[in-house]
Amino acid sequence: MRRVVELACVMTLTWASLLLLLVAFEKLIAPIPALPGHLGGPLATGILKPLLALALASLWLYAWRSLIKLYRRRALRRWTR
Amino acid sequence: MVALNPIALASSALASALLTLALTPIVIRRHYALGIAGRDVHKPDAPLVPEMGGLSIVASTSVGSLITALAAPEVRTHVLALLAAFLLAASIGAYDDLRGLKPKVKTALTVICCIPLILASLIPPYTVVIGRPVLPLVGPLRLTIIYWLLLPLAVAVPANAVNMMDAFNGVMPATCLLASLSLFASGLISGRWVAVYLTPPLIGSLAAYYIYNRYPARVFSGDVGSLAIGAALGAIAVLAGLEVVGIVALMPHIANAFHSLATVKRLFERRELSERPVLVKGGVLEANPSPSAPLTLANLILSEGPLTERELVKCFIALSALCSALAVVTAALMEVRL
Repeated sequence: MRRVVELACVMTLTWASLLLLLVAFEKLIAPIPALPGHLGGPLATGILKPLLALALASLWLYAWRSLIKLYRRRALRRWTR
Repeated sequence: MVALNPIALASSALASALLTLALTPIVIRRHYALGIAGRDVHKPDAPLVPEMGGLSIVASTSVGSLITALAAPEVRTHVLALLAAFLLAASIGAYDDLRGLKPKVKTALTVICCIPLILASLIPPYTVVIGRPVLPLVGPLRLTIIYWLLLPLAVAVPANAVNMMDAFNGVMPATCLLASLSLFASGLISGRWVAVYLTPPLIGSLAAYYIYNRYPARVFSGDVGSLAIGAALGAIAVLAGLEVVGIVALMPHIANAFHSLATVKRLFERRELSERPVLVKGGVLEANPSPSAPLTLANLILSEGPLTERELVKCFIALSALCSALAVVTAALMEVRL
């Protein structure tokens, strides 16, 4: 079972960062006030908020993927050594 | 308000388990006779194994769910919606097993499995409420548009993710059993009785089916089993309002699917891959170190060095147990506000 300890840590970190991502949606993106009329008003805000959430979620996925790639590189190096 | 009926829970789980124990040997014999068998490529002698053992899970889970529907009328609409999504996914899987479907077509078809859930939420007296997820540390959300845009993925993603991880003996029933147990426990601690009612038939049939599918497998689930079980887990998470809990419980499956697709950069079938993620060498499994090999969970675990299939499956189960525990913690955090 020692084999999966590092991968289990990656999964736990991914879970914790997922919770942080959800909190960020609620605390950072949801409270953004409606843009003034000349900048598009509520319609533009309605488009901006999901786009910001999508950007944040993409950043989280990118970080997860990078972490997994780093783990694999290190694991392969340990095996071939 | 849904009252808990322990007799209904126990009888549906027990009926599913007993029916799976009775049906699976029949399915095995019939499939050998009909020649519906595939090679177990992770064994040195690549034995022939019957391929559509998932049929017994589909039959027994359906019977178990009908028992729940009869014994607990307050969740009848939920059960019937779940059963419809489950049987739709099973039909798509059966067609794929017998005739073969292109990966894009199969994925697109699994999207329609969310339709029974939407229809159930539109039927008076509106006992099925979807679209009001509760997030851990955040609380209830009112997503009027985004939720409905994401809903088709809530069933299609788990269905295809479970299907993609069904590559080693015992992995599908063991990991999905753990995910089902975590949804059951999450339902209990968060008071979401719908999850408590919907999971026992799945728990019973998966526990019994594991006996036949564990290493060395006497039967494979086929897409009929894996797509249906994945769709059922997604549907239960949606119907019980445990969407985030479902994501966490299925994190190994989602990680396996996401990192594989991110490497290959398209939807794929295992048989059409030029680079296999895992290589079989002298009775042990090795990670394919090629950068173009899909980064499956098996490839990641084996990157540390070769393992036997039995050892690899234990690693899968350990990771799944961790994520199931994290899913229960997530359910507990749904009551916490920052």
